Amino acid sequence: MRGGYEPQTLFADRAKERKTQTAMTDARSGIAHGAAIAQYTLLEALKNRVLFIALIFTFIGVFAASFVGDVAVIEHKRVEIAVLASSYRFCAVFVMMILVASTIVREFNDKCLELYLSLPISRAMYFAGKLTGFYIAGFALAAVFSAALLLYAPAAAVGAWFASLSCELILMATVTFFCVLTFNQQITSSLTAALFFYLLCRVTDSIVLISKGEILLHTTGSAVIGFVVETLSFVLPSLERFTRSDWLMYSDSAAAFGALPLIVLQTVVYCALVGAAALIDFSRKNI
Amino acid sequence: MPWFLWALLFFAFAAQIGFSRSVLPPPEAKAEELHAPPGDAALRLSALGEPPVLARLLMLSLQGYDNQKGVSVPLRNLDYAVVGEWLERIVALDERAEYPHFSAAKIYGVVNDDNRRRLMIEWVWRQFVKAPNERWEWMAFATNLAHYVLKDDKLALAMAVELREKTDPEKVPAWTRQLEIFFRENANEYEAAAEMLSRQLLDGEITDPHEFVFAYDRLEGMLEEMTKRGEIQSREHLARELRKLESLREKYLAQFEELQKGN
Repeated sequence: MRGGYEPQTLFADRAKERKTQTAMTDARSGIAHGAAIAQYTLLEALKNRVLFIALIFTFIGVFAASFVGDVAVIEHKRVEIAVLASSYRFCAVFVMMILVASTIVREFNDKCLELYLSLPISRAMYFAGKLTGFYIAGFALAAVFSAALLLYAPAAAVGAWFASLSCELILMATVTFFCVLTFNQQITSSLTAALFFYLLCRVTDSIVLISKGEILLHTTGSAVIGFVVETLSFVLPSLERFTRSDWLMYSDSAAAFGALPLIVLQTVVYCALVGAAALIDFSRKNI
Repeated sequence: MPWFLWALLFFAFAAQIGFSRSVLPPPEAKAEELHAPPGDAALRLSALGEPPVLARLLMLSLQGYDNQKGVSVPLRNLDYAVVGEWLERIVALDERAEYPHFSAAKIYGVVNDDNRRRLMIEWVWRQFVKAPNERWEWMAFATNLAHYVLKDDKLALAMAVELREKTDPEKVPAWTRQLEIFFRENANEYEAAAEMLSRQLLDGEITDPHEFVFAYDRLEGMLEEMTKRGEIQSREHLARELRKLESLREKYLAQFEELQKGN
């Protein structure tokens, strides 16, 4: 007996210490595994030539916008920016969705996922690692398109547009991941669902406004439609407020930066919601 | 690789070329009628959350209507009531857009047909009332169009009055607000014109030396005109106003000379 310690207390303390150390080592190795998965996801995105595709779209967009801008009689610059910003936004989201769906489906089909899960990696860590990789790829995509827009609009407005597009890509990457898991890794149905979700989120605000307008007949049917639309607007993110081209067209950086906090908050909240749903589905899957 | 695959590729390519050159009918140039635009709600939904972008694309497509695939359609053949509806929808999509106002005033408004011109001038006027300090430029152009091209002095004067009353002197150039004065002067309403112009000068609305000197000379011209016409009372009133403006004129003339030396 040393230092007045009872043997049981000493053993209990050491066991507790060992447990804490093991937990910390596990956590450290979990994070390391997650980081490795993120790194390989990013590497795969690069090998899928995502950046190359973005660059090609960037150049095509610049030529197309310059042609359309020449057709305009006035507001040449605004017309060019309108064409460029809206097509870049759609292109970035489309590439992101394809990247997420193809990567996850390939991992399922090539049994890579089974290999990962046979290692001491939790499903949550795999999920987080994958998403982190996609998010970084999203930032890179947004950066390429935003860099091209710097030729047309002030840096402050482009900066806000970049931040908003990054949030939009992060959100859509999470939703596409969820769709792939939910639709049993079927690429066609997953992509269709993700695209439909995206388009619906881009028009939800308009539908709500229309359903509240006076042009609709006040019948039971329209009341039901109004209720459904209103309910939908509660569960869908309002992508109409994200990455707006008019921030760049009118160099309205004040409006853009004013909208950013809500956009970031919406992204965090919705990613948490869809991420949790996806993780529940993923944890219940028999792999 | 089996040889017949190459043969299949070659024949399929030849068949495609043959099909497109001889079986498919060649494209025909056919002018399409300009249909009424869809409703605001349908357009807003089609915009997918980017109404300003759709506004620009619709504007370009409307602008291209006079030059459709290989056929040139004169602007005066377009149904201007429908053109007006399209322009209105486009403004509803992006209220800050200048393109529809520019097109109404300077493209569709200068067509060689008085009825169509009048429709566009009235369209510009209706839109001006919704945002006078932003849309004064197109309104001023349409006012001149009504006066000098349409030769409808009554309409032009009514528009010029609205232009003066609805705009903020600090946000629009002084000449815009003086259109009414010039129209009244042309209509021989010297007394009213002189009263308004001297009021603008005394109120300090005109601060540019060039404009001040021009307006002062104009007032002197009106004074001479009144003398010729024997409008003694008005003439004396104007002479008093001119005396009040004398010292201001000296100041502006000095500035004017300095500016000219600087140039």
